[in-house]
Amino acid sequence: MDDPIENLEEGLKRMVPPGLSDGGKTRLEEQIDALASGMERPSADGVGLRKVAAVAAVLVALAGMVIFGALRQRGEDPVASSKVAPPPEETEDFGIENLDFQREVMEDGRDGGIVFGSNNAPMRSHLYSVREMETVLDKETGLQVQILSERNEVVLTAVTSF
Amino acid sequence: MAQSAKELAARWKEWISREGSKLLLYARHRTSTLEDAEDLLQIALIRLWGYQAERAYRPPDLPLAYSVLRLCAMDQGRKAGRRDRKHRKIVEFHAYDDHWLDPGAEDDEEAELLRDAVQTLSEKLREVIVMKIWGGLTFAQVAEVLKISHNTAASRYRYALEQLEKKLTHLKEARNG
Repeated sequence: MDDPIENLEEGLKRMVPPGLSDGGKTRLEEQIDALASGMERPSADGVGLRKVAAVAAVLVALAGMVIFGALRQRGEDPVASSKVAPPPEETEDFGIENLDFQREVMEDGRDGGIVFGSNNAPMRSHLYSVREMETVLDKETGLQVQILSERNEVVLTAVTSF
Repeated sequence: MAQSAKELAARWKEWISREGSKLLLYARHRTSTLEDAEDLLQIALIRLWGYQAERAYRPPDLPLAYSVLRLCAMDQGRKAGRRDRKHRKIVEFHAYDDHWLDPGAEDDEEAELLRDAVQTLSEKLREVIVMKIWGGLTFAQVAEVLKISHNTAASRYRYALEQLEKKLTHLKEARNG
């Protein structure tokens, strides 16, 4: 084998790339464990996601009730609707019943790239435009009120889905 | 195909222990320090995991891993900005003293010279050498990773070897006075 280029190729192949440092290897293995355990959370039938959605819905409903009640206490009209009667007398019991709650994702998760959360853990961010519609019943007046809210949400996932 | 998190993690760990050093070498040639290279590899790993969700989280093929690593390196480079890159370029050549290529046990002076010569290649040529020689990729796979034609990949490789040969001769001459 007299070709200098071939000799060179052989020489290069004999050179061994260095491996990962011990710390680097440990970090990668921990990352793999985290990714693998995160994968199990959102199960295939979406039970995990539904649970998250349900919790979010409850939180939003509660927030809506608090805001609604506070506005009523201040004598303000909680929504821009002529159907809403003047607020009744102050009461500790808001007398509000949630009838319906719908959450609509207007713009599907745009990729917001990788961000670093607590402990410098990389997280994938998804940007959503969300509209929520809540229907509540004022027990005292019998009026049904719809509260519409639109907002942008950033959801961080444990880099299990992109 | 249901697989437990433990089984899946074991498969990926086996994959990283098999391919990690090849990928690290590529990362190393895109970054200024070993620590940066390992960070880059970790970021690529996360992204690869996401990509493989559609493939039952199978550990990826090496060409895909190189592609993703390259994309991550480009992202990092963009973030770092031109000024920082300029600085990094200066640091890079000094930092190579920590041996991004270790000659084999039977190492001789020539291997050391060869390593020095590889390090002076341009990035475009070096990445082809890294993927072809130490990654074991075919020209078709190298072309796919770099988004260039098969012929360009092959000619870059050939040109890189010619450059290395010249540099090696030059280094030998310089060393022998």
